[in-house]
Amino acid sequence: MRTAKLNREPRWLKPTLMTVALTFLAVFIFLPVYTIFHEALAAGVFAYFGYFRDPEIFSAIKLTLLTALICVPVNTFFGVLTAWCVTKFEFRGKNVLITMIEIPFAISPVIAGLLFIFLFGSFGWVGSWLIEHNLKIVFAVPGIVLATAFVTFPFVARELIPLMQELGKDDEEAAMTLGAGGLQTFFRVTLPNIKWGLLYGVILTNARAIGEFGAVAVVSGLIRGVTTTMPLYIEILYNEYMFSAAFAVASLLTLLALVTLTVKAILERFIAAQRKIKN
Amino acid sequence: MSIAITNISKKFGDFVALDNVNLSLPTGEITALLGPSGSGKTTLLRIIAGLEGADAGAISLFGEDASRQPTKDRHVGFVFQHYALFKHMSVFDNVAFGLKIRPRRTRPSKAVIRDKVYHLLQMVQLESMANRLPTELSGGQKQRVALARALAVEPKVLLLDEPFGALDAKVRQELRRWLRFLHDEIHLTSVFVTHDQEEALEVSDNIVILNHGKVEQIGSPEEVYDHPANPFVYGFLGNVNLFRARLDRGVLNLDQHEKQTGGVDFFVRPQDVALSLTNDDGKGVEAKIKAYRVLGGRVRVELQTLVGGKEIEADIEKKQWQAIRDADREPVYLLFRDAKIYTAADRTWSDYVI
Repeated sequence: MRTAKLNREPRWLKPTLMTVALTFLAVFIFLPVYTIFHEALAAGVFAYFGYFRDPEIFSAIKLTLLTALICVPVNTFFGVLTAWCVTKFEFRGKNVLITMIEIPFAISPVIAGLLFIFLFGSFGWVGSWLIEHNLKIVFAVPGIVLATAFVTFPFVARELIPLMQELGKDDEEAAMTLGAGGLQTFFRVTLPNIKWGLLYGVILTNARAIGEFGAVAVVSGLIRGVTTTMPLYIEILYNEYMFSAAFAVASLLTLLALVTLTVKAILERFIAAQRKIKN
Repeated sequence: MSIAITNISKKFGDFVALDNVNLSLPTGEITALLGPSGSGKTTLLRIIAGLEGADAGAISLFGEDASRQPTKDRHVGFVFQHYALFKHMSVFDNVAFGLKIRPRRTRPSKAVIRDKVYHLLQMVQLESMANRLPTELSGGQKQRVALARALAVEPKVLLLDEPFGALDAKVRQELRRWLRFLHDEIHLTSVFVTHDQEEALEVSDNIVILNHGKVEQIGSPEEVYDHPANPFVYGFLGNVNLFRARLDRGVLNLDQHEKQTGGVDFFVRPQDVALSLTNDDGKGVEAKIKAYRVLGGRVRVELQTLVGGKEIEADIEKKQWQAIRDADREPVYLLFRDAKIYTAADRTWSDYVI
């Protein structure tokens, strides 16, 4: 018992650290979240639900969900594809590719947005061609989807690459020697092995797709009811001093985020349990 | 010949894994690919399975050119060092995998699959584990499941990549015997990779010794052990005393240093070194005992020759050792009963006869 005491910290340390940490959390996390819901409901519950009948708010919600609905599957598909290429094949420039996957994280979202303006805007590389063919990308829904897809691309790939590297190629090779083709191997062997990591990446992609502001703000052009997503519309409402409405939309967005976080926490528990079984 | 390998070469970057390898492996026998790490043995096995492509050369399985065939069409069973069991499937589903994924035309019925899987599990003595997950099995059990899984698709050739490498000594010993036993029952052409010479000698009908991507020798365990083709094979198959010496008209002279010219390399296994208290025929080499270690029924004695100061290890029976120790006499006399001589100058490799 004496040895146990040797490594014991002073009595005051634990409560002090706990207090500091919890106070910080309260001030910087709980308080803002509380404020959002408090302000949103300031004008009463009826007014709160009334906001969502506003066609512009409704269209903002629709656009946000549409963007997520397109970006999540697309990035899931390409994320898996990239991770597969990086982990299963040997080729020149592999490290460059791995680094490139991180570019959307590394650069500011505003720059990501500008990038699409330069590419598809009227002065951009393909801008005049687009105008000739009467195609609108920037300041339209396709631009918003593109910018969001760009910003959220790395989540799935980044989640899967280390996982698949750790898993190695043995299982896939075993499946091949047993007569399995490429698709059979993927769906019956690879996918079950990576499913939790993949889901985790999908949830992160979804969270970011719904919440993205910077890149989308640049390409949106803020055409009300057409190219405003929820985060953009919150800012518009706020700038127009419609605080309650702004907070109402914000509360919905927060709710979505909280749901996502809960699902993520549950998933993490599952992943941990899986790991435990494995070891 | 079931597997014919012609002029196979393979490089990984600048590293030469296989250098113009030619081999043909007989049907129905177990062949061991034996060599140190980096000798290309695993690469060769993977090329046979089609998991790796050769840079040059051809491979044919049962008279059919397989060089361009994908793995799934080669009908080879493959057992991995780290089992590679599908973690999310039960033991039963693992073994059934190869049958279940077949296209409908050739897929056996559920009942047939079930019977076959249970038959295989019975063979590997794991019937009671059918519903377990791989994580609930020990290493030895996992490897037996992997073997049953590979056999389920009735492969024409069974390939095993260091199958017992990840297991502890006792389980490894058991599984070796068991594999040999299994093979004697089903007579499937099998190739296994190992770096353990003892394992190769114990399990296989044929040994292929590889070094630096080249075949050094092919033969039965007895052939390669008793008639090693060159110093590498000799040194690799068991412990060996190696020292420089000179032969003066057939008489061994140990007064020879590394740098002096006219020397030969002298190879003798510890168990071929006899210790004697007397030097009746005058052919013994005087030595003093430096250390010894009792290893169960045998004793490893470290000696140093009085002339030349060569370090020599002898492996003798405990009873003999006790007699020598009781006599407590120095020097003792060494007799090399079976030794090999390698002359680097003209690269000859010959027996040393006293």
